[in-house]
Amino acid sequence: MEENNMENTVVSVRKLVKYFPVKAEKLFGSRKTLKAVDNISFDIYRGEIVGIVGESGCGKSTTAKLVLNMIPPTAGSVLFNNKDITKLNPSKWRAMRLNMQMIFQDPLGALDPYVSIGKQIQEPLDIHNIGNLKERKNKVLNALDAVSMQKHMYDRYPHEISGGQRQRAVLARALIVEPELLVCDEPISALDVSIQAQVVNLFKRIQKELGITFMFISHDLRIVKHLCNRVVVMYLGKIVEEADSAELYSNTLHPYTKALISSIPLPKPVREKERIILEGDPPSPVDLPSGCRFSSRCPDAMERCFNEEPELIETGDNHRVACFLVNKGNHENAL
Amino acid sequence: MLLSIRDLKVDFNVDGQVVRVLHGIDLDIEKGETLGLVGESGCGKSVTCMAAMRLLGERAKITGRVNFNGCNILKLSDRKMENIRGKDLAMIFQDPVVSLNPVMKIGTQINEVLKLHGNYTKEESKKIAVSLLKKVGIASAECRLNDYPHQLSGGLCQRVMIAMALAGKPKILIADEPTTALDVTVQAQILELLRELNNDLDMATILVTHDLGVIAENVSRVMVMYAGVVVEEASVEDLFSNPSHPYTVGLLESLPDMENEGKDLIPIEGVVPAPDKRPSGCCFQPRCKRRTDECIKAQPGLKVVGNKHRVACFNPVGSIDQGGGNGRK
Repeated sequence: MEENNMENTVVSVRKLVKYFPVKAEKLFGSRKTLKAVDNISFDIYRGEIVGIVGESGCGKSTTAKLVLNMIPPTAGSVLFNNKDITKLNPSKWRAMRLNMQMIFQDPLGALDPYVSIGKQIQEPLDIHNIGNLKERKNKVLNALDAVSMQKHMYDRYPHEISGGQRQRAVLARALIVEPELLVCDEPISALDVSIQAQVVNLFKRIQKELGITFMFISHDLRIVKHLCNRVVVMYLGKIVEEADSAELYSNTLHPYTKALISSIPLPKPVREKERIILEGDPPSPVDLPSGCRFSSRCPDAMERCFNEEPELIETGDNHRVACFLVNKGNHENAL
Repeated sequence: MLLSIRDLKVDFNVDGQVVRVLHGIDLDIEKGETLGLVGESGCGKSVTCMAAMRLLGERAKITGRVNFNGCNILKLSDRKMENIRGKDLAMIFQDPVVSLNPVMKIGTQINEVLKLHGNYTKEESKKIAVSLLKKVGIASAECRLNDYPHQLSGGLCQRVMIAMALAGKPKILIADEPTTALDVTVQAQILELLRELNNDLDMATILVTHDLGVIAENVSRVMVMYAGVVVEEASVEDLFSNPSHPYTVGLLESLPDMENEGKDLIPIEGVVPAPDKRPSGCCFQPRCKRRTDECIKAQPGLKVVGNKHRVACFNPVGSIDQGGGNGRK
């Protein structure tokens, strides 16, 4: 990943750590920490859609919040256009913030029920003081058009429009300040299948037309394969595998990724391959298993896996994986 | 026939206005069969199940017949219905954590169900509870009896819900989106469990879901619902190899294909109509690419197009007299 020149990198996350203190279970019990994100590094290149996948509790959403500097990291850094945003002073950060926008799972919760759609889309312009009133209104109308919403939606209120339209409105509000990076946290999970397809196509079009970089967080591996150029797989706060989308799905290396892909219910009555069904649930990020974090559920775990933690190692073709089965040799050239 | 529903209609009273949400559903399920109900939100999947269980309360007016073991359970007294509900007809829901009582131990909650179904002594019911938990694949079942729901993960809670549903040895298990709130790897576990139980216990299963992937691998027959009507019914193989209703085709096309990447998804434009704003004629007509004048005038009924394959459409996909892609005559 180092060979890509720095101009092409929008975000680079280095040794990022986020621990949350957890209340002790008993009155005089010792305090524990929840290791939500534990020493992860990755890059997001300009114009690409990076998918972050994993099960609930794997740290996907915490990673998103850290990348957006919504919560301070415990350690590590997030470089946005080569500037460490975790150390910026508030006024500089505010200017920087304009370049990174976000949308979340539940569009109804993200919209103010008492403000019309048009006014809400305009709000970022008001806050950052961009343009005069007429220009602002024009921008809103353009943004509505960009997300395939009709002009009369301007005066509607959130409860009057459908779930798919609401998500478009939220997207329009994020796009209106022309960000470089758009972080989407499960943006289509709350939508119906036929509407999901509409919104996914919209994402693809926007990426192509506006050249926006996407960080796309999802648990739906079908959508991720369809939409993303590159995929980062997380398990319990660690990156276990990272590769270009086509490579990840055709040459899956980590047993967890294999199980995840194998768990996808396919719309085909006959299954060609035997399904890998993992036992149990992901362990709690408070009481992590020793050694490899996946060892307690891994069908191929060896003795070494229970004692040592594997490093994320490049195996070639921009493919990185953290597993002793793949990286049998030494772990000195770890990234 | 174990359960046969005929012309089931449900009206809701919303602020003095009567809104019809189910428009005459026919459904049959035989012993040991697995039936899938699929459709988007608001199409009436859950209401169908809740109406059959008589769980809709007083705001809903239910007409039609729900014949179970030869008697119409819609006509039964509340008392008699209580003997059937939970015992012969059991149901599990989408969110297991909400379905369980947060301030009661798992064991106590299972005991409550057992008390309704038979006279067991304390020891007996504990034994049964442990065997039920083991049946649904919960390790160290004895210890789990003393746990509260918040101490269990979502997958475990759903297993407990299934155990409680099995307590009355039901003849039909209705699973309403049982895995929607769970992670994919856990979803795979629960679906496998439901398949095994269906085989081992010889009970019929009705699986309600919006996910065609879940349907494909877990049921033998499928009913596709849209806006309160059944638009297509077929064996699972037929439905996926030979979908006939434009809505079914649309649903399949809007899923990303795992093998052919790069292909754009083909969404169904528009949204499901609200129950009080139904279009004239066929309910899918405003979103349909194959619409003709006929579709706007009249509502199509279910017609046989193949072996046990029925579809409610004037211009079904793959029919002999099809007029090209959009079928406009």
